[in-house]
Amino acid sequence: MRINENCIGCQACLPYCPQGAIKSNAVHERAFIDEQWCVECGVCRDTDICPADALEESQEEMSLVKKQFGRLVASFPGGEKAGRSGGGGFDVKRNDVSRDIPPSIAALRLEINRPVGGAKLGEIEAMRLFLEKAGWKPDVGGRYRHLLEKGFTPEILDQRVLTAYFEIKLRPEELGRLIGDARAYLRKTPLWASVNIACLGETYPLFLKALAACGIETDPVAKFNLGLGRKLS
Amino acid sequence: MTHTIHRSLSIQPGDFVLNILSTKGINREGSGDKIREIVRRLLPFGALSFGNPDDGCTLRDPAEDVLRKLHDGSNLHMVFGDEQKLKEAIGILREMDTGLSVVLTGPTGVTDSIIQDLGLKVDSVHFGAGILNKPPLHPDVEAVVSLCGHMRVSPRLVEQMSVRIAEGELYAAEAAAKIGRVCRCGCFNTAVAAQRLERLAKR
Repeated sequence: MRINENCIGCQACLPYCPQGAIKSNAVHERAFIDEQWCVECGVCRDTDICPADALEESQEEMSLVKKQFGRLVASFPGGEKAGRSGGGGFDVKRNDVSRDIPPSIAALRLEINRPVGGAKLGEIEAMRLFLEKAGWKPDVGGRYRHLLEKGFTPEILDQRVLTAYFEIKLRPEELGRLIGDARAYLRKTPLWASVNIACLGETYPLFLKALAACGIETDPVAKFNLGLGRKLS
Repeated sequence: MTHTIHRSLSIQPGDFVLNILSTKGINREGSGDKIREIVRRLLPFGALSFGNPDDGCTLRDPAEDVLRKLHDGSNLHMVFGDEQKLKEAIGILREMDTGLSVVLTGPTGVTDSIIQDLGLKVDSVHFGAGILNKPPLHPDVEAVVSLCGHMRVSPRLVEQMSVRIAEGELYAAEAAAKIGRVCRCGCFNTAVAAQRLERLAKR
């Protein structure tokens, strides 16, 4: 994102940026966007808070990279829409009709810097490499995989993005080791990660038990597919 | 999408999200009309907001505009604040038997008893297990921020709004509505946000 010459310096947009990337030196002076902090989520422009139409899209190559991770609705090179995992993820929302999730296994997702968001791709990639070296097989979303396949340049690794995730399929008895590995790694970095787990209803109690055995509390909110979906002829 | 489970940080009575959706090749054809009918039949049960990122949501757009745009393949989020009314709404969904998938997000103790009372069998579950290396945020700020699982709510905005409430410039409900405008999917619970903002303002 960028701020153009229409800006009247009212500073209305400043608090709307979830990353604190919009800055101003003084009232009535043109505000500016710190590209190092902007994750291209587009909230500033989307919310129509600017009275002067001063917020506009950047077409810089690195802005386009960041948009793949930051935008709710964005095109993805190769035709995939942002928002889909790009294959391999356990889709709880549709499982009553797709029947993709196998029994006895869960998909654990580490969502980097969720809530709030904002981390450098280089930091995220370093964690992915750590998890691989530790023997895990982290699956990444379609957008991330696309960049991985093209090859990360130093410039791309330096970009701050909203979030990315690693998804690892595992059995209940593997849970403690994975969370232990992730926790030990994250403690040495400025990153944090939300942990969430997707599984069949019949498998849920096994993972609750495994979490309790590791002394890990589950969040008091969960998402349940109520089994009402079906194929229509 | 995992975004509605991250509102666990805002856990409060009266915060439920229904997500109703179709799957290509299975039940997508004709789903647009069904979803519109679902909205019309469930709105009387106290839905606080509804919508999705592609067609719009009532936190930003008039309800009729959102309804008009819903189409085959549209995903629908609806936020409810009352447990009993939500239960009745799910009962209606079951009777309608549209064949669309229905996903309920809410506090686990309460959702367990709703599911049991309605005699439903859970197909699959997505649940949270905390945050590793969590960043320090005031709990009420974190609570409001996490109502948007797409990370569109700025902690600075929440703080600013709480100051404006404390100074008498805004009511909490107005501030919550202003913050809710950043939400594109309709999942932001303005009633819960208003309660938390009120608490922040009294700090």
